[in-house]
Amino acid sequence: MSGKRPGDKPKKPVDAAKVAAKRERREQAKAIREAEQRRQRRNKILLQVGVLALVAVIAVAVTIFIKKANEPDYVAAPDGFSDDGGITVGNPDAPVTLTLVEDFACPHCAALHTAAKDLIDGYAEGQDVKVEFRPVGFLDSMSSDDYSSRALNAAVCVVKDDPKNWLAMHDTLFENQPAEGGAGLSDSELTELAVASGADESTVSTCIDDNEFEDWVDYTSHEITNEKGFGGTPRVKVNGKDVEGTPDAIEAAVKDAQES
Amino acid sequence: MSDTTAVEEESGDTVRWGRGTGILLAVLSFLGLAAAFTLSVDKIKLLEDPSFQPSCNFNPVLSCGSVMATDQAAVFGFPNPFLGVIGFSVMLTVAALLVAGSRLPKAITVGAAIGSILGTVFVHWLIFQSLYRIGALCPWCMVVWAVTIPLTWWFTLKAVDEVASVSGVRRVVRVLWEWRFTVVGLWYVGVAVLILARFWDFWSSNA
Repeated sequence: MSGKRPGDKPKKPVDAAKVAAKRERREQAKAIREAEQRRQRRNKILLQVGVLALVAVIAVAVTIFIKKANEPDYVAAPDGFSDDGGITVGNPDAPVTLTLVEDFACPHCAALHTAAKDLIDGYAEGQDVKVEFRPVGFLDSMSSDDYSSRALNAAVCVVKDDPKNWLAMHDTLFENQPAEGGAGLSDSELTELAVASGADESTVSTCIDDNEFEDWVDYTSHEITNEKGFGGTPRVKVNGKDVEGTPDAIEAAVKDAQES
Repeated sequence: MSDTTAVEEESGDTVRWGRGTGILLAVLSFLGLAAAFTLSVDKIKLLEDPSFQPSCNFNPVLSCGSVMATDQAAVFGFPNPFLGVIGFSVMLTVAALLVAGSRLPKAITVGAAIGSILGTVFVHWLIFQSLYRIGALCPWCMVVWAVTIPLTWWFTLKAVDEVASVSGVRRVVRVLWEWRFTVVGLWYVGVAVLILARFWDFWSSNA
């Protein structure tokens, strides 16, 4: 105490306390400022995400609403077809039913046709199994000219002319299936196939050109593709039970059904 | 130290690109490169063996085999993905410079912006073709669509910000930059809604 100048000692503690207090205030201020910045940044992100989510929900909802509103109305089935869109070949009293849901624009259906043609022809000619075709035309987006539904319309035109030509038209449509993407067969090419299947040219050509069964094709395709368990074409069933789309699986399931 | 960076981030008087942006751009470029490369390889395999099933044929709508076989898949006389392999390689290199901490010369930023804008125009033409002319979606092509949009947006905003001398333009660019993720998100929503509408029958029948 004695050796020091007055003023020295009192000054230092005061300074230290001041500096500490100042630092504390500055840190508090900084913490508040940073908290505010964090809050603002969070609010900005919430706003940006919110705007995006809102627009996305509205856009999707409006699209779904419009699409639902445009779903096809009921159209009575044309002659030759049952109310649920089926046309049956073979003995109508056969105990076993093989059901085929196919689209004429579907490559896997064409492949199944190639593989299973002999088997199915055998059922159609025999007495034990009837074959129910439930054609759909739901793959219009796979071609530039709605080939899927036009092809089905052409097949219905053939049935209108004479139901017994259905199977021939069905086979020839798969055997002449156009490649995916791009344009499908033209109306005149479809007419040629119909005539080759045994249909009367003057009847089918106007029916095909006018796309006469367009509305029913829309309706039945929508109904069948929205049935429970539908997961694409071909869909194969034996006595109402889903079966893998291969000749072996079909034959095995038919044998099972006959034995039970 | 932390004070000054905070101030820098907040002042936002330019479109700031740090290492984070570099990493994002590198990831996007890499995804684009991987997709374009896979498509190129699949195209060659398809030419060698027409029955080859490309790695992305999932169902009638999601299938690149049918898309790759179209005229639109080789607009300039050679398969489109070759362009992607070149373009995304350049983008990846530029992004790698950013990740390494470099500042890009103005000419490089502007060049990358012009290149990516041309890429975006092409991609949107392909989106239109895919939806309304071909009627199928090719998954790897969609990866290319998805990465091209943000890459273009990022480079274009940065380039305009560096080149523009009018303060009004730069203010607009700054707002767009702040909202960049939302803008790209909205862009995706737009394309997704077109896809949903176009392939509605297919999606709803599988639901």
